[in-house]
Amino acid sequence: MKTIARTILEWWLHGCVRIALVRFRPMMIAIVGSTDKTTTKLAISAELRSHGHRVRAHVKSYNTSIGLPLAILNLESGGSSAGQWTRVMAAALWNCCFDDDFPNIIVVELGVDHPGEMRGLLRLITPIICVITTVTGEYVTHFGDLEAVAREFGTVAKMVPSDGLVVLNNNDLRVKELGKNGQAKIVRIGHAASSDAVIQDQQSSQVGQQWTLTYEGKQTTCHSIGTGRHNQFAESAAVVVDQWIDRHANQKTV
Amino acid sequence: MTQPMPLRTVREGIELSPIKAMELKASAIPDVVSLAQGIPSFDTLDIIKRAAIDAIRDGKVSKYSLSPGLPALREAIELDLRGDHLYYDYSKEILITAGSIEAITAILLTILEPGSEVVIFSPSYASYPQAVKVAHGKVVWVSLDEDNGWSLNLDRVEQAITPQTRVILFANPNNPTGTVIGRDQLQALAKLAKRHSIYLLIDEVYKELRYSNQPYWNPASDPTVKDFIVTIYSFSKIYAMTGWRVAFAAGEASLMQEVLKVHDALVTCAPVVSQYAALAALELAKTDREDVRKELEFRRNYLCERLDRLKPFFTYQFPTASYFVFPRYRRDQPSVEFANELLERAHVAVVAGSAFGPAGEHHIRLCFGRAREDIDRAISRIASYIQIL
Ligand SMILES: Cc1ncc(COP(=O)(O)O)c(C=O)c1O
Repeated sequence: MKTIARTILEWWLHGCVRIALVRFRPMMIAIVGSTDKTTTKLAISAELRSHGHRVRAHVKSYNTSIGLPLAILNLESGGSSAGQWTRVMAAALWNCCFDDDFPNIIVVELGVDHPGEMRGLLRLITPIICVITTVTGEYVTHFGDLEAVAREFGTVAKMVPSDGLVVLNNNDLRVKELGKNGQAKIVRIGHAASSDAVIQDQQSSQVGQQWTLTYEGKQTTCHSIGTGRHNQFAESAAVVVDQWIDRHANQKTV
Repeated sequence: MTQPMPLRTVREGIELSPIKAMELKASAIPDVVSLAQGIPSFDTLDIIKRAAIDAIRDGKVSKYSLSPGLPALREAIELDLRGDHLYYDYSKEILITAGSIEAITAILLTILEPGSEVVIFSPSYASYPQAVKVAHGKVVWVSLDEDNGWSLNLDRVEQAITPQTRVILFANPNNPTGTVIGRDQLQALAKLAKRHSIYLLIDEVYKELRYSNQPYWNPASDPTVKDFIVTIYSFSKIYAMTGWRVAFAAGEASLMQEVLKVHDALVTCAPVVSQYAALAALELAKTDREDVRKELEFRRNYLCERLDRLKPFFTYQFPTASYFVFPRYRRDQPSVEFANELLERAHVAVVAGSAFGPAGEHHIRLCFGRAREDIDRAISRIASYIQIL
């Protein structure tokens, strides 16, 4: 059962987020999945920043009903201290009204433990881009099975508007099937040739790894300092998202 | 009548850690003050406990996790290590263990053949020799240089390496000396390991308990030697989580996949509730962590000031890390006897220096992780006791 203090905190932070989103109208990118959310979020935000966008992405995973507002308003958890949390609430109010540095793009993670929780988070934000990483067994408990977890993640993909983008991990057999009933464009990234964006020619490099990403007929050499397939997916998703935002921005200015 | 087989642990002299043995002995004496075992006096932070309670309530902890640990925790560790320029693939190279001592033992069990040698610095953590013996290895001591602030002599390390050597195992910062090996020497050690195709096991359980401006550095950040290094870290110390038994090891994939088999055979997985607690520690407790470090720095200064007043009976190297001071005492008496005398006559539990290897003889180890009042009472009692010697 939630404590009264927690309910008040949540209500306050959600209110501040609503004010901030109306006032600053940032583009929201949501990362969803059982694992690799933070890696993907950091890869996307770094890629967008390197192309001159003003991006916010909290270094921590902050993806719950309390964590998500902290991520959007660029605040740290109050830890174990009630005093600290009071300061967080004051800072939230300040940031939602007067944050001169409020970014154009915010990349957030959405995390759920219970069926239906995603809808609660989606009442707070409407992502224009959604990236779904994996469906694995870690958080099955309240869902019954992995199919239910996948369905919960799929609700985000369905919410993305028709001019938005859904990026799916084609290496994950459940994730690749998501988003089919949605309206947005879907890009599946993976190692199989059937992927929309194909990862191939992977090799380790002096610092990390490199590979070729073939997407829409174009080949891009990608690098990541981190190793492993999850880093390949994260960086490739970053390239796809960046290209989409570029095109989207151009279409808007034309 | 048939006799049971003689036990290997008895035959090979594998012992209960002398530190724990001292705590056990001390617990039988009324009004004893202990500065013996390395346990922080703090309770685990509330925010960590709350996360663990939430995980229990949510029914997340009743089943085994994957053997290498919760993916979310391993991912958080991968990202955290990036801050130190250490790059590991969590899916193959990071393993969550039941405390760092399980990590160390599992790694040694993976690498060592019967008779393999492990170079250990003296003095260093008392459980290392036991772990080596459990893994059928042989300890080769290399003494640190007390007259030079317990510094490491690389020539001595080189001389200790034989064709049987498989591992150099050390803590950085070191227990019990509270010293930190600097970048140049770590670099040289890593090159030495590569040249001899042996592993460097770096135990960083006191990584955050540093009180000087000396920057932290781990040689695994150099890709040319990374494959020869395994880094071990524990949530026990800075987060006051010794009882939760959660730590991790990070190393090159082909080794770690083999260590995983041993880990699986030993414990299946680290306690799942503790893994959720560790995740909360990494994500939410950074600010609180700094408060703990500052408090320990205060206690270090206080304990050392009090020890200064007991010169020349005690002389010591001022610790720049960990939560230990390791004074030499001016008395011709083995450290086990002296520690026992302090326990029985002054009712203060300390650890005999010989527990940390041959170079630890004629020293005692005092832990300033203990509460201020305990430090105060212990030093007052020791002061009164040595006056009558
Ligand atoms: C250097 C060193 N390594 C490892 C450990 C064991 O830590 P853990 O609780 O993670 O097993 C200790 C505990 O005192 C220690 O001092």
